[in-house]
Amino acid sequence: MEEKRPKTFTPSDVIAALFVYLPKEFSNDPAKIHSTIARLQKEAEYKYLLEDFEFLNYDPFPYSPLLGRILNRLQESRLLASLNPDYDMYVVSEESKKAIEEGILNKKLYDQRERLSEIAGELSAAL
Amino acid sequence: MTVQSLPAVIEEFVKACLEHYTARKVATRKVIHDPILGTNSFEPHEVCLIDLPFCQRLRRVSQTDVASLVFPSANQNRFEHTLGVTTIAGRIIESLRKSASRIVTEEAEIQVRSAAIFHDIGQGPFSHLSDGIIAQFPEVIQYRRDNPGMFSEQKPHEMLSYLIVKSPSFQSYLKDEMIGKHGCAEIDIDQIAEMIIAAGLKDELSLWKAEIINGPFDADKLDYLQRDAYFSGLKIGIDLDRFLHSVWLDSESSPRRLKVLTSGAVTLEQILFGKVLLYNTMYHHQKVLAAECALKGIFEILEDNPGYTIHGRRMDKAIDFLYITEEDILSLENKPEELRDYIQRFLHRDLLKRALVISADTVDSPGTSIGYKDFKDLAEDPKGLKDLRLKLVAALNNKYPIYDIWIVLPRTATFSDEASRAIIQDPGGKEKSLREPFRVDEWLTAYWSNKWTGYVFCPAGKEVRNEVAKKASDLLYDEYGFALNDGAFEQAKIR
Repeated sequence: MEEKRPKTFTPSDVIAALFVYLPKEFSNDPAKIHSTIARLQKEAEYKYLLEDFEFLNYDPFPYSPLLGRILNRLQESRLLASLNPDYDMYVVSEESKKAIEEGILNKKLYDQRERLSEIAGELSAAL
Repeated sequence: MTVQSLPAVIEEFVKACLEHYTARKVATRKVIHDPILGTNSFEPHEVCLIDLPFCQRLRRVSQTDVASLVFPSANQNRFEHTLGVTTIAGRIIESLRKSASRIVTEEAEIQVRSAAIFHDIGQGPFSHLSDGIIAQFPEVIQYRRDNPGMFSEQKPHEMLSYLIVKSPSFQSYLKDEMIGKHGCAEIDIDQIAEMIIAAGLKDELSLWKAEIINGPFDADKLDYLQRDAYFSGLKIGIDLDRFLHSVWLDSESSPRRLKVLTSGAVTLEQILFGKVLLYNTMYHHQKVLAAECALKGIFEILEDNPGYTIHGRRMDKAIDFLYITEEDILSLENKPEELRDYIQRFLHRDLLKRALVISADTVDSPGTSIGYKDFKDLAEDPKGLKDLRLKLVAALNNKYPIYDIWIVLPRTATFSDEASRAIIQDPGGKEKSLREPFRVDEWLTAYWSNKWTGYVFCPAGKEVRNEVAKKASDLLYDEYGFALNDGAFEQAKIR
């Protein structure tokens, strides 16, 4: 049986860490974001990072309430913003990116950088 | 400790409720008046369902838990709400008949209205407050794990409502009552349960029925937004008539979905606006949150003292919350002194006060503080949050019991799921989600993000509050590395 490794990161750490690899501005389309994470979660190499997200089989796209809350909570804590007046793009400032890189990526997810970069690449392509 | 399975204890509960219950004969439909929805009629079989102890119990479950301590007229209960949801579900069905009379059959109407009658029968005392406590119990966590995809994010009361309807004794009673005595057409009772949780639907074509009960613009929301606003005195409105004129059933789509004409999109926006305004002004009002802490303290005292019970129940299992009422919790009879003291404080509205106000406005450099993000993540981690409270109590040299010291992080609301799933159709027949013409969900998230506020609560008294504020501020800095600005102290209004 596969041994369960205790995790030193949270699902919100994983999502925030992706920002380091994403462009400064990216589309906030929930259909694409949730669908991509739901798809990648099924791939063995990303399961460890994404397994906490449970997806509901909503029509028209699978939706993870936890992922929805995390994206909103990251906005509450100002690490993520939505651009006024259209609100159709997320923005992560250079200062926030730097803080995430130092405080999350390097401290909690150092060994997972390659995987995170791949997930961000898939997400970027989808968006 | 062996955890008894949730379906087994629910079956026992159902049996106990029905054991001494004798249904009365109902020969004709009944008219019931409602301050919001006017005069409404209920079919004989529905009156029999409403008369069941499971539904009558809801008369003694507050709709907005302890909000009446802040909004004195917010005394509406889950029973009134249940009748409201049933009425609105019926009106939606009537509207849908215009577009799909072949699909919207009498049988479908019976199912949908029955699901509305039962949608809240799993609610415990003080509604959402019970939900928050029940969610942590092992048998609830286990049942979620055992049924992935079914209950991953369902609220505990939805899970309990589902299990009550699915219980063998309940199903047998319903078959006798609805089909046997009232001649209802043979209906799929399992589907009623599935509609309540809007998951596990065996018949995908029935999605539209589940959407009326638990969907992006369901009868539940359409009732509670109006009802909670009306009874609290808040001027938040929804144009229900406009909505009913624009909702229709696309019987050609697969799965069949509810859709709204562009002309009625404004009512969907009203639902989202109403939700965010109610959260901001009522559900997350600082005094309401403080009152909830007072009640949660009573349950923590029970948890910490194995000899304490409420009506002989330890309140450490989900099922206990279905057997007792709010009166049982707040009664002073046969309670130990410590519990009586906390109950009395609640009854006298002697509530905890703010020591600190925590928000993006009161945190130094929130956009670069990973610690602030980590702290806010505790909203998903009740154990971690309690550990932090214990550290704060220790930092205060254990001068105050933990039941008097609270760190409250209101749960974040989401809007994109509803805005994405709500389908609107323009006059040319082109369809899009509600968020497509304008990102209303992101706009509301921006509003929410600016309004979100957490608190540290403690006993009244200038000295106590200042002491707790200082120690809590130091603790947050030590544990999470973020500093609070003067606003955190000033907005607590310690005078």
